[in-house]
Amino acid sequence: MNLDLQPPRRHSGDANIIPMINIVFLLLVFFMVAGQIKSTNSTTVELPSSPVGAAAEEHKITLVMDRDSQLSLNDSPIALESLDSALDETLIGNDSIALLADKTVKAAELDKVLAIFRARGIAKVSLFSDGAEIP
Amino acid sequence: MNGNLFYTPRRRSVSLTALIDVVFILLMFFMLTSSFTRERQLELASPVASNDIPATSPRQLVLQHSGELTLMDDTPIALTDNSISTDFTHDQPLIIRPVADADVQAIVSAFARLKALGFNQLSLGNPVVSHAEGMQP
Repeated sequence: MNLDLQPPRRHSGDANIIPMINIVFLLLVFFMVAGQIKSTNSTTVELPSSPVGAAAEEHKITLVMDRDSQLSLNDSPIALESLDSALDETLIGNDSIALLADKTVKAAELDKVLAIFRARGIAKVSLFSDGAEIP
Repeated sequence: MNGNLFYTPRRRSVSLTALIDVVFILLMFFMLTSSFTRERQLELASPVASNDIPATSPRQLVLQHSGELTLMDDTPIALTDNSISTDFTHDQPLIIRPVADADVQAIVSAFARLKALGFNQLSLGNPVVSHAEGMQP
């Protein structure tokens, strides 16, 4: 007499992927909680590393300076010569400016921008860095 | 005889394949768009004309290309973990003047080291013209 003592297996295909779904759900929750969704800069800027400094805040005016010292003001490319006049339109009151400069930019190039800020009396400039340790 | 009496409702199982498809798509979205870098901001107090007269006169430091800090007469300053080799006080404003070819990473690192030593009144000044350039006619 042939007795089939095996319990009936239902939906064996789905049962095999349940551990995988658990892991995928955990990964999903991790990326949702730990990550931040932010817009990426169109230009390639590698920020300098610094372990100190306050957490970055939102600024109305963001000036990006890439490794070739090309400027973009609020995501639109701009020449250094026209930066002063562009600030006339965008700068309202006593705003502070976020300056995202590539870590390889030389001080002489950075000072050309800071000289425009100084001439306009802008004292609050926030130089952005990422929070990694100094290599 | 009513046939419904013999009908036993069976639970229809929902296929998990559609669920895992959606979860994978969500996972891909969050993996590709998430950023884990925490940006920081360093206040560059740019020396502009002001009516406020500081209590103590600011001292100027030169940031060399190598990242070393010196006085204006090229005397090196030894920065250790918890002290500075000169007679600066912590409430004294310091103006960091980099040499022209010092990069932004060196400036930020110098600010970080001085802030770690307790100097909070830091500002970034004009680049220093190096001696080699200054001697050119």
